[in-house]
Amino acid sequence: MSASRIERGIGLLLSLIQYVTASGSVTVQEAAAHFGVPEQRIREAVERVFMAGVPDGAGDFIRFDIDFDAFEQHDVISVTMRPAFEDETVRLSPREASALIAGLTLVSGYTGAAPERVAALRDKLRRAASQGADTVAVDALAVPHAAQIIRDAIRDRRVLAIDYRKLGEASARRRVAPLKLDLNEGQVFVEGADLDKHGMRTFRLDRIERIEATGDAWPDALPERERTVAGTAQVVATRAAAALLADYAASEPVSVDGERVRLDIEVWSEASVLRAVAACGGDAEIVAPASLRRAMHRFAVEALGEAHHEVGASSGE
Amino acid sequence: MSRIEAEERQFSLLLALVDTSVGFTKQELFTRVAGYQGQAVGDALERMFERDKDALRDHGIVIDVVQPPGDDSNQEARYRVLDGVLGSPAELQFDAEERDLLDLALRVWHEGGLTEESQRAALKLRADPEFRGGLPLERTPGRTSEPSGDGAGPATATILQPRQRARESAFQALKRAADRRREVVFDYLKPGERMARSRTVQPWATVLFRGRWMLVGHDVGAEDSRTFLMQRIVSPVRDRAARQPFEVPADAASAALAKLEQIWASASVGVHALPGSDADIRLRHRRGTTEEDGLLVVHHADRHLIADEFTGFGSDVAIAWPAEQRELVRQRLQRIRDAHAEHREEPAS
Repeated sequence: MSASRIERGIGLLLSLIQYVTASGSVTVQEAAAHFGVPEQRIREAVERVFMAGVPDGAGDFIRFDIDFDAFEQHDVISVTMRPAFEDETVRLSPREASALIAGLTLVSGYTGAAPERVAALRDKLRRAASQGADTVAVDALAVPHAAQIIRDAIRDRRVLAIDYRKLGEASARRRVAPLKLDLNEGQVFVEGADLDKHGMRTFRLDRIERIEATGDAWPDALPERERTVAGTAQVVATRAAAALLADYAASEPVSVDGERVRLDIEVWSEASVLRAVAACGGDAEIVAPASLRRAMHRFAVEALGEAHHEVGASSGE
Repeated sequence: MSRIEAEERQFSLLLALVDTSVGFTKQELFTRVAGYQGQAVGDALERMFERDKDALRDHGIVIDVVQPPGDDSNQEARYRVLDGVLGSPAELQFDAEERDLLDLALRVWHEGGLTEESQRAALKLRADPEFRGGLPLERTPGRTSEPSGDGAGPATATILQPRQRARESAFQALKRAADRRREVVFDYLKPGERMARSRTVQPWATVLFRGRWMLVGHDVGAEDSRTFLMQRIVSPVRDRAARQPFEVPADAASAALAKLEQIWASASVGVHALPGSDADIRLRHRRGTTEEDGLLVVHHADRHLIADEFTGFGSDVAIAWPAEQRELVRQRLQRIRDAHAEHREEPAS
């Protein structure tokens, strides 16, 4: 699971052979920057590759060869002999191709790339993969029109006017200089500078009622990002419910009995936390503070009242 | 260091296997591959060979064993790289627009889930000197965004930040088991149930549907294919040799996705949403929602999961139909009410 494990092993060696060959000659520094690894790792990989060879019939080895003087004296890598991987390489594994295709499925709609180009790229990736069962799939979500407007506004640096309904408040018009679209677990968020409140804000796309570009001037300076957390709450939940609350978690879950765990969650909006806890369907309980416990109780009582009212209304038949 | 030796040995093994069209017997490999040479033939060497084959498989290099007809001693079996593992470097070269898209596609798997595959894929794509995208191979603490490589205009990755986390710790274990055709055993808390139950599953595929990761496989106990929410796997995933050897259906992932879409299309709930409320706006934005006689008709893939979501909307929503769905939400609200009743409150002040 550790990221640094990836560049170990033979993956880097194989890629480096192709990279150096295609480049003709590169410095260790360039290669390290290209692959994003320390220079020493590149030197080790070079030494390893060029000590290896293919056994010939007589039991000797035909070895990879480089310009050793250039390497030792000037840190320059230049391949002179390749006994293997002359014109072939290791293809993408089925899962690597799946990761690329699935990622493409999730984001391509937000990029403005022509659908036929994306489809062609997907086919090309399939062809570039070795055979195997299709073991990863993702559903393609339709890209909301608002996301396209925001994407273009970010690119063109245009200020947007949005009608936004913050949880528990009436809808309000906000002028926003959008900076980034954040696709997070199936939800789309817009990060931007709220020009009226003079602060950085994050907006949920599915809470935007209306959106339009304005002719307002793009701000010269962007405000600092700030994050205000009102406090923390303690929750006891089943393991599955705790996983649902992980976005709010301020602590690792600690087991309280065989089935349940205790965790602290950040309260930056009471209404949001109540909804998140309620959406665990009764598998999470607020233990403290007492005021939030009471609010959770009230939330359920009010919702039951509403539901009861509806049942009453429709049971007259 | 042992990792350096292993890396050299595996590379040497790969070179030997790439160089042969008919394959090598194990004995031939043991005498030809640097790192095996000079070692006593025995269990330790055999285990080393198995580990190296596993390591190569992680890079997508599958080693095929060809057993000569009539030989079951395993001594004459020949090892070679499976056809189709090697291809032309040109297949992995992409133009500027494609590189931009691939960069973004790889960033989706910024953490968890498919991160490892994405990093390996990025490593392969970077064999092309023009490709600079994808995930950093080594994370630099404190640095969350990578400088964009190409100078022309804002790179798409600076506009769009895609992330698809899979915190589900089960993910890696399930993928490994699926690759190796091993069965998995785990405790599963089915939506709507209070007690987790142990399941034995032949893992087939992982599917992301409406933002949730799922495992698709053959449930050995139920003797049928099943879909499991990864978030509800509540124990570590153990793997073991399958009692019955199994093959993954070629279209396992896409078939499961199609089935989920079908369920989503056919399952619906009629809801009153308080006009202009958070629930109203969000449910209207939900995939497939329509409006009929003043009711929102909302689609879902599981009545318990949608019941949880409705519970989260509190008094903003009231379920009109079906009655069973209304009851599921009511039970949840009652549990929340009872769990948060006064008498459980701390005695302080």
